[in-house]
Amino acid sequence: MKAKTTERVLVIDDESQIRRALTTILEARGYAVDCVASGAEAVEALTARTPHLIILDLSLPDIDGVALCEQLRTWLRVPILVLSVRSEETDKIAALETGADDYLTKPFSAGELVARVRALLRRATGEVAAVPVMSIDGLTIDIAARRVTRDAEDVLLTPIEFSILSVLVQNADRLVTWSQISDAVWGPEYLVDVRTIRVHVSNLRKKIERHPAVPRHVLTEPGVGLRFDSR
Amino acid sequence: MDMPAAPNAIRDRIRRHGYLTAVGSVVLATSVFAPFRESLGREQWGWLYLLVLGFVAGTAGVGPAVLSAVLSFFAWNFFFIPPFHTLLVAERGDVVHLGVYLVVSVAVGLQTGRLRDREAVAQREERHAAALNRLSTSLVSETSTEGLASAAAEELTLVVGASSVELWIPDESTLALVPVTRHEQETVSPPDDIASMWALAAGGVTGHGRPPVRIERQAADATPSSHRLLLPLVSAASVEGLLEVTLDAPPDDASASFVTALAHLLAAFLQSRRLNAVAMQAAAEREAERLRSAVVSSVSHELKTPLASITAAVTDLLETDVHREPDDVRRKLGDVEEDLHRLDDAIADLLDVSRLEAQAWQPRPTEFEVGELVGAVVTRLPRASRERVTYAVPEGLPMLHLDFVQLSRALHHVIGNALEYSDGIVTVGAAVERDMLLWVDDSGPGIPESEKDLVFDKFYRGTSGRALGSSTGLGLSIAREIIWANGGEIAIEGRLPHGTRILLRLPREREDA
Repeated sequence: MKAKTTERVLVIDDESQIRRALTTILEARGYAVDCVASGAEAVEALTARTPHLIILDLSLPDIDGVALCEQLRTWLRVPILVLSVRSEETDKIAALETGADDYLTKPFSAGELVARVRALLRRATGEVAAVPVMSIDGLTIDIAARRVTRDAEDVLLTPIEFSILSVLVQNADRLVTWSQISDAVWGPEYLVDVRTIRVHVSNLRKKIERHPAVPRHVLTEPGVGLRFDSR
Repeated sequence: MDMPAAPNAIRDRIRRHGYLTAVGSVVLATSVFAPFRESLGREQWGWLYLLVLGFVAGTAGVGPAVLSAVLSFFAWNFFFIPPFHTLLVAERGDVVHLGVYLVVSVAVGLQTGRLRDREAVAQREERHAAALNRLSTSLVSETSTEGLASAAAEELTLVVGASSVELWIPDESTLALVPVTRHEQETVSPPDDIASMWALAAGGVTGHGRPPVRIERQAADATPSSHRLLLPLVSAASVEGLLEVTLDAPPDDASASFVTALAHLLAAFLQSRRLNAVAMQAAAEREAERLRSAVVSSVSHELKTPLASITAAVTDLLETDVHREPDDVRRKLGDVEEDLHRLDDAIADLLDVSRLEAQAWQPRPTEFEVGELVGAVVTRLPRASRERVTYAVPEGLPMLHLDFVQLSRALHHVIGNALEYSDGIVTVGAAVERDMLLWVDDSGPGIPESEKDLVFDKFYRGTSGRALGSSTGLGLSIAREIIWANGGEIAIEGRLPHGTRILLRLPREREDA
């Protein structure tokens, strides 16, 4: 499947250990990795060649990561995965608001990293999730057949609830922002209010979650959006 | 303190207008006596005048007494000794009467007046002593300088009739002289004369050993009749401040010595307060030092233990002298991963503590449901722990508007504590009252009543020796700090027959917002 073209990833991080670890992990899985250590080098590398994905560390020596993210978004459409440490939650949310597509908090596992990278690249190329059927904790979701069962019993979802669930499942374990949900469910010409989406999400949870009041699968990402947890 | 005020005031007025009293009494007595001139013998009126004289001497003092003795001598002669309405005396016997009266009345006036004056002095001294006594009582109970300054001002107004009183003390940080009664943020720099007095007094003690002096002068901007006293407050160690008293009249010796005595009291109070502050600061520094060393020992334990075990495992894997099955390698790496999680947890705790202590972690509220918070926290637990958690969270609870990230850290510590401290099921419940209530129940051994307040302290590990909340012993203290920062409360309750409930009380979004 990866034989068509080698996908290129640009890593922007000033810490050499992180660059080394990311390179090792990603190259082992068939990606081509370029590394730069500063914002200036990043802009230079990006004008020379456009990668398929950018991994951006929020604390850079020469420029604020959030500002760089915002700047790149003005002329680049490639997905951006933000790396942050715990104390940078505020920066992380700001980066997601200005156009980053997902985030990883350091320290992260190789599995998490690869899952995020794959999900972002898949979405960017418009490829449909390779998992049309997802099954966890007695919940089965068959996107293609538009069928959801809970403990082998059919769950009846409204079209909007199903659309929300399918965009979340197709991006399983990945952050989906409120505006991405609005785009995917209602179309890009509408910007649907977060409260409206929340009402549908609340109904969706009542139908598919074991404890609707304490959701385990359709999780809230504070201030940003939702994430479907499949672990 | 409970002396009747009204008689005092009358006595004061008589004392102040003594000569007027003397003249008035004689005139009044004469006009009362005159109509009855014929009903008594002319020489007997002298005895009645002697009574009047006694009254004046007893209330108004020596001077008025002598004045009234002389006046009554002439009045008796003029109105009662024939021939009337002249100072001539018809009979020789009357000359003797008058002469003896003059001598006796002056002598009685002098004696009684002197006694009266002595009594007045004694009374004043008693009042001064009582005032100083009251002040020294409040000196013991009063802890704030403001409180003492107002007590001192009250006494000065009451006793010497001060129209304004100001206490100037050096500011703790800048050492600039500031008035105690100043309002917050308002900067008042002392007038030139006070500043130079301060320089003189402070320099006098610390520099040249020169005794500070009392400066008395008229206030330049006040009415010509107002007088200002500036007294350095000198304690055994140094000059503690300045006392500024404005009076309506120039102070006599007694008032001046009262003000001086009061200044000594204030100086003693300020000195003990200053020494106390120094001692408290030292105690606080010792406590901070104790905490710092507790942090250091916890850090070195919680960081070094996993690090040591990772180092041992990894260096072992790097050795080539042993043949290893791939499964063994994987198992060893699994252990390393566990240690890394422990290391990460410890670092996260320390990061939280330092951010909370530096107050660099301001809540950033977003809207969410309490169940979403619980879900996000439980999802991040290891699968084995996750399966021990049950819920008692009803649907349809109102939204909260608080910092989701901070609260999930707090709840993580509370749930983690319950899981670590008990072996059975842990229940997370929620209910809505005036606030949102969120609780975590375990069925562990419970926390003894005596330890309930202590478990939220940093590094408290309980008498069983096990760490609470997290292995660093910081977990519940972090949780409490976060809950407080978000306007909530956290408390521990016992459960019957056994177990512990940790109850969080979270503020609900205001309807008007």
